[in-house]
Amino acid sequence: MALLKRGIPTIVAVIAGLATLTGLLLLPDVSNLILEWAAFLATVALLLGILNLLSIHLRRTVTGNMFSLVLVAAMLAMFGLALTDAFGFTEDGVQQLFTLVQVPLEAALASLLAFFLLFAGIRLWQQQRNRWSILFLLTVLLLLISQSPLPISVEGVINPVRSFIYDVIVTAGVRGFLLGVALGTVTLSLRLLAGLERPYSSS
Amino acid sequence: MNDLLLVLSVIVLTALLLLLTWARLRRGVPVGLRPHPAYRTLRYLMGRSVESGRRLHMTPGRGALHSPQGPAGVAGLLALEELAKQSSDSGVAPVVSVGAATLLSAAQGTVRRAYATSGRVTDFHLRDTHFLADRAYPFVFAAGATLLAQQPDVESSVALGHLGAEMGLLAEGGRRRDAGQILGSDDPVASAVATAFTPNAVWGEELFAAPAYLQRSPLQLASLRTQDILRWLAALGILGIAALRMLGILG
Repeated sequence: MALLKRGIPTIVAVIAGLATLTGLLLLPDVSNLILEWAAFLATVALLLGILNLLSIHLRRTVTGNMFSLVLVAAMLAMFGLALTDAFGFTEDGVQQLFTLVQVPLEAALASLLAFFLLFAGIRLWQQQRNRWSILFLLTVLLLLISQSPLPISVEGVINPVRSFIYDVIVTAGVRGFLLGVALGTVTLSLRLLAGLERPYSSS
Repeated sequence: MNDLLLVLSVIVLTALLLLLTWARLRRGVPVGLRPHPAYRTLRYLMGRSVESGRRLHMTPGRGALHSPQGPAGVAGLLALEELAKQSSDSGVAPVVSVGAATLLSAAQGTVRRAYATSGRVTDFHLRDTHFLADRAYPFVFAAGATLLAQQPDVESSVALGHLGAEMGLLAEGGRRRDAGQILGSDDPVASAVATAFTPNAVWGEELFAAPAYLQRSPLQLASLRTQDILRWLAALGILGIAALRMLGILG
């Protein structure tokens, strides 16, 4: 029984993985079909995720957690609005609420990031005064200055340096980084395809 | 046709190298791992969590399993498995947060498996794994994960998986609490952000080395060794092609 429990998911995963890979290389229709199934399963997973979120916060609401109460109320309001949209009582309510609340909040969080990073850079400089932190600080200063309005004579000196940093150093670094990630992805994917790694297994 | 050949040769070469190194390691040939400060600190944080009886927050990020970032998510899940095994032995369950729906059941299954291995499956609770937001809303996910990591019963925070610039929010939350944190991603921007916040940053390919550093099974070590060999081959290939182009042999 244990062997069946362990074996069946592995066989299904290996066959699905190999079929997708073969499809991607030789039969695009097959891989597209499997990817469509995966997208459908992902939608079901999203539904489970929302239920998980709701159940956890409903439990917390009982213990008096105000954040959870707001979250549950917002979820129910959004669901109600989706229903009124569907039955024609309101028009585009979900999208409007989303644009008015969610988009500004995400934008605010994203803009906070610039300050966090700036302070993190300063702290890095204060805590580790080695050649790397000096290089880090000099690069940041140079790139900040190069983005500001400058006299043409200064721009003529700074712009080639900025281009060199972006086009040569940063591009080479990012390519090397992505190459490493790709190699890690290939080895991990092979382990998954061969059924040697089973993150889906229950035992 | 050329692309197909290239992909097939990479797959065959990787598979051969993996099998060869795995066979060598199973025969008992010793393999050394480069010291990695982040993974050394992770072991320390796991121990500290057990001693203090406070939990670890862990997130495998928001790399949906059916997306190109899926392998980074799986690497995070493998790290979570080891962390959950240690936690289940001590009875201090980790708090897990995910930012992709497909990672939710995978993370729950991973933690459950770890508890089952320790024979303490009754201590496993589905509610310890939180789905915070869909992967399209990275900052919502980061805000939720930061709140979870700031709970009074949480000792430290580990983020290993696919995360983007939102890593900064998580890192800042950890810094404010002066909590230990390990931050790693397959994204260049997230890795750069993590480096500004902590000396325990895990960069790109090092994320995929997590199972080798934490589990040290022959398969994981062989995989890491294969990754190393492939990297050298790729570097030599790039240098060779550049040299041939400089000499005008290659167009």
